[in-house]
Amino acid sequence: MSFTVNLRDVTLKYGDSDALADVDLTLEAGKIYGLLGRNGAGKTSLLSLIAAFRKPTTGQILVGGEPVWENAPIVSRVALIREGGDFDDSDYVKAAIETGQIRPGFDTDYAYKLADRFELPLKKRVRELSRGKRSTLAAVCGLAARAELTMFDEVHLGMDAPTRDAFYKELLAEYMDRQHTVILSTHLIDEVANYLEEVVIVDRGRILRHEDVETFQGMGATLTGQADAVDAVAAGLEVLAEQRLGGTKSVTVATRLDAPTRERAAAAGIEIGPVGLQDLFIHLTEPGKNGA
Amino acid sequence: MSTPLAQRKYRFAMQLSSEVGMTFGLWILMSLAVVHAVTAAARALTPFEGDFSHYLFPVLPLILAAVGWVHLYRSFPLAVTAGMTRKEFLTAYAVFGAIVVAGGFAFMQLFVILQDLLVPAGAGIDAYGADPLESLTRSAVYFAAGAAAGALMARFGGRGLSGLLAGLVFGAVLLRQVPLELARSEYFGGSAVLELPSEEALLAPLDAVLAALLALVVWAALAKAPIPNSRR
Repeated sequence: MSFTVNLRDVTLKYGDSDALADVDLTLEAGKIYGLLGRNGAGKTSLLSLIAAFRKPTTGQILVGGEPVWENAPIVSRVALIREGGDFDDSDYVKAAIETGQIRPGFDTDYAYKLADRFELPLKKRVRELSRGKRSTLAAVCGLAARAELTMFDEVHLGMDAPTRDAFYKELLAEYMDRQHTVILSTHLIDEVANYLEEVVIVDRGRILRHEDVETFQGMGATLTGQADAVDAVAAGLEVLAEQRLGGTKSVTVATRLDAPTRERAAAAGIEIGPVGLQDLFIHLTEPGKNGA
Repeated sequence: MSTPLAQRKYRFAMQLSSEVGMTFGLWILMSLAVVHAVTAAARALTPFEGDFSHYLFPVLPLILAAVGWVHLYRSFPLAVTAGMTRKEFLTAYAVFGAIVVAGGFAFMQLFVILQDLLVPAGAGIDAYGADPLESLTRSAVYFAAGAAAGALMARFGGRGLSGLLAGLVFGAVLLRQVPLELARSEYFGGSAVLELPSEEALLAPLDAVLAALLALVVWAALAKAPIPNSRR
C-alpha cells in the first residue's frame, strides 16, 4: 500500500507573509516525485505540512485519503527526512537509529544493514559525525522507516558522489521492492532526473508546474550539430543554454519544436534531444518570469 | 488502530523512564550512599554529631525539574519527526511524568527513612517535602514546572521569549509561598515571614493545584506546536 497526497486550497503564513498560498496539489500513490524550487520557494514548508510537522493556516491536507493532522495511523507511516536529520546530537548513532522504532513499520535490521554498508560508526555520538555521515544516517533512517510516503528534503547535502549514488540506487531498489510514494526535494536536479516520474516545481509559495518528466522534457529541446547550422535553426527560439566544442555546438531551447523546424534541423544534420530538466527549471523559475 | 501503534506511547514513556532511572536514579542513590557513608565516617572519627544528607534533600526537586525540562525539550521534536502525534506524545509524557513523580516521592521518603534509621533524633529532616503527601505534591510541582519550561521553549524556539517564559515558570514555583504569606499576614495582621523552602502547611494543596495548572501549560503549548523548518 502507498499513500496519495491531496492539498486543497492550502495556505501557510509565517506572520504576515505567505510561505505557501492557495496550493492545490494531487500526488498519486506509488510514484517517485521530484520537488524542485529555488531557495525559499516553499519546498520545506510544503513537505512539513504533508508530514504534519505543522498545521496549515487554511486549507486541507489529505494523505491516503485522510486528514494527516494528528492522525496516528497515517503519520506513523509518513516519513519526512530533513537535511542533517532530526536527531538528538548527544545520542549515539545506534540510539539515533533505534529512535526510528517509534514507527511500527521501522525495520531495525535493515537499518543496521544499511549502516554497515554506508560505514556509519554506531558507537560515535551524532554530534561527532561529519556533515556527510550525518546526512547518510538521516537517509538510512528514512529508508528503514519503510513508510508508505517517504520524503527526502535535501538529504544528500554533504554526501560525497559515491555515497549519493549508492543512496539513489538503494532508494530505487527499495522502491522496486515495495510500492510506496517517494518525494525527493533537491537542487541536484540532473542527478536525480532519471529516477523521477513526475516533477512539481514550487515558486514563490505556489505550485508553478506539476507534470510528468516526459512532458517537461518535451517543453524544449537540445539541438546539437555544426555551429552554423544550429545557430540557423535556433534563430528566433528562446535559448536556455549553449555549449561549443570546436565546430560543434549544442543549444538548449525552451520551445516545443514544430514539425517544419524538426524537418529543417534533420535536413541540416542536427541531432534533436530532450531538454535537460535543470535547464528548464532555471528557465521556468527565472526571476521576473511569471509562470513561464 | 493496531496494537503496536496503540501501545507505542507507553513504550516511549517506559523508554524515557528507564533512561532517567539508569542515569538520575542511580546517581541519586549513589549520592545518598556516599553522603551517609561520609556522615558515618565523620561521626566515627570526629566529634561531629550532625548529618550531611539533609543538604541533598532540597536538591531533589531541582533534579526533578531538570528531568522534566530536558527530556521534554529533547524528546518532543524527536517524537513528532519520527511520526508520533502531539496527543500521543503528551500522553506518553504524562505517563513518564507520573513515573518520575512516583520516583521522586520514593526517593524523598527514602531520605526520611534513612534519616530516621541512621541519624540521631533531632538532626533529621524537618523540611517541606518530608511528609508523604508533601513528597508527592512537591515532586509533582517541580517536575511539572520543568516540563512547562521545556514545552514553552519547544513551542517558542528555545531563546528570547521562551527563555523569559521559562524563567517566569520557575520564578512562580520558587516564590509560590510569597502570595500565600502576604495574604495570611494581611488577613491575620502582623508581618509576613518568608522562608525558602517554605514549611507552610498550605503549600501541599497549592502545589497540587499548581502542578495541574502547569500540566495545562504543557498541553496548551504543545497541542498544535509546529516543528521548526530548520534544526535548532
